Amino acid sequence: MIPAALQTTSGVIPIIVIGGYLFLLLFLGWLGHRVSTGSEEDYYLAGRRQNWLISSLTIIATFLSSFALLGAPGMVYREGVVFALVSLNVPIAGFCIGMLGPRIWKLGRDGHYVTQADMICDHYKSRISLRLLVTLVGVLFVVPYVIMQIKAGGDLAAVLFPDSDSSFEIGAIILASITAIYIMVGGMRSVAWTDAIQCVLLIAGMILAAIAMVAALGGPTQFLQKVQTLPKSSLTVPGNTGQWQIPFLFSVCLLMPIGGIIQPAQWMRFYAASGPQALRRSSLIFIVLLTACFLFTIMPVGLGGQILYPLEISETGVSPHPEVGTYDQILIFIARHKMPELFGASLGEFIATMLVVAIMAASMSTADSNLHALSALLTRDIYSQFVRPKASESEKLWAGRFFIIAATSLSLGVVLVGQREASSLADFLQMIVGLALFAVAFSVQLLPITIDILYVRKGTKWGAVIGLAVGLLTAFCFTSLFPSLLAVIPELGLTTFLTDSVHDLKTLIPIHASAWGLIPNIVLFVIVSCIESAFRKES
Amino acid sequence: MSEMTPSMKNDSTKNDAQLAAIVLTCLSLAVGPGLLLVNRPVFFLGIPIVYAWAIFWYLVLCGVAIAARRKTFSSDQKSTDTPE
Repeated sequence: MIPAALQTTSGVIPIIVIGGYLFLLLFLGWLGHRVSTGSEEDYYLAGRRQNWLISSLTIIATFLSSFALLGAPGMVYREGVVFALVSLNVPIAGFCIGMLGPRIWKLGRDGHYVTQADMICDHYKSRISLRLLVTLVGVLFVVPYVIMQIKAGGDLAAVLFPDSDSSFEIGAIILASITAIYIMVGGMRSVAWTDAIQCVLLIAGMILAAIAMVAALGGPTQFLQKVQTLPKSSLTVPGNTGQWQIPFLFSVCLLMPIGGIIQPAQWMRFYAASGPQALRRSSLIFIVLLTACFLFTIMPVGLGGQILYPLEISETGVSPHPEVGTYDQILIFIARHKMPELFGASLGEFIATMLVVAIMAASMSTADSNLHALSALLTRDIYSQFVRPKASESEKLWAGRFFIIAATSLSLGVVLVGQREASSLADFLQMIVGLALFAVAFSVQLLPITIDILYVRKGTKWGAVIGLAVGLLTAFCFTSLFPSLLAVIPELGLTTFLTDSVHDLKTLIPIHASAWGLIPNIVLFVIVSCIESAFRKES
Repeated sequence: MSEMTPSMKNDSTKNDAQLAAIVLTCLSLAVGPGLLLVNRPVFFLGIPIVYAWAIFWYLVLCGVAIAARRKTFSSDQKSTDTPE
């Protein structure tokens, strides 16, 4: 039976389109299973034979996430044109693919590596300490990213079905379940195929949203004239909230893309490519196409949002227009409320449906890649190493599938609990941009090790272990979760001192948490490696 | 696929280092101190100047990427042509 809310807001066609899209994903999951050879390498790396087109599309889709169609328009809506500068992080990610990707691919092929930890632990000859730390980095990156995507599914449903009390929960559960099913069935091959389709859909969605927005505001000339009437803070740095000071902006543009590229799921895509040429082509497509998508599609959508639904800016702060709800919902809010009004019922409904499918594609493409990578991390780096070293390939594949269910359930649980207003997680889960920045703060800490393995080759095991451990801890202290965590710990002198110190440092030097973590990480990595090398030479 | 000789590996590392330096310089100018040159609520061809500044640096970075790709492509060609 069709829910009443959907009948009144969108009609039957959207149900058919969304249902067809979800069915296609499940079909690709089944097809991937049919083609697979059943080996672990095939399940996690699609036999290392991904061509340049699939490689490009799956790398882009994994990078984009719900941030692209919910978080980014939400950020432009909140902050204004400063986001155009934040978009320059995308070419940096592209350059990282072109420089690091072919080297990672070559080492992966020679060493038959599947996960990040395989390469790092083999290089530094560390079986336990480094493997556990690298796996922890992977988990700290992947879980917030999966949470972010599931939350996006809930947000989408909440706007589509405002009359239902549990629409958020149902949307989050459906997105999480279908994603988990096709990963478990088809492995990397299905993930890459679905990513390719999702990538095309979400780029088409971005273009469609921008065209619709500019047309809705009377064409390019009228649109630009209306942009000129926006508040001064929307047209300059540091944006409406004042968060994007130049040091913060620079550290985010430099480190966020690096963290987004040396994360577990992308690393496995480098292994899975058919060769270095595929990755170099992917790099170029990534730089040219993806940055253009952000600059020329997401920017008009967010700025148009500000024109249609002006922000409430006062001395106490900035808040979205009362009708919009939250910043991240601006695009779906416009799709649902403005498109049918501006373009008529049929065309408006079509545009709104395509945008919904594009947002779902963006969320699912990142959730599937990250869940798949998490399954590889937990199976190869923990289960096969420490729990059941003699497990058969079949047993390991089943363990991997179990981890996908467990990680999906855990992330879904966090999203559902965090949705309650009384929850201490509510503030942390408030904006998708915040979650993305939280996740990369940890993956960036692998940068010194990555550069050492691929270029310098002078670091040592304890340099890597100590640098990484201290880097992770420091980065965590500067994330938005740290104050929430301290709030649940009984009041002690030390906690107050820590909170105050972190706050003072953040005010003094406004850089991102990842940069704070990298400073002690690099220093300790170099110092400890030099000392260890000197001791080795003496002995 | 032909393996790289040590001199080719050094060339490749040198190319990557040069590329990283160029990209970092561009980024420093685009979103670092260089941004102070344009951080005003004025317009260029009707576009907010901060937005136009971002588009300009996007085009510069695209140029750098295409030049780097051509250079890497010619290096790859050389490594393919070099007898083992």
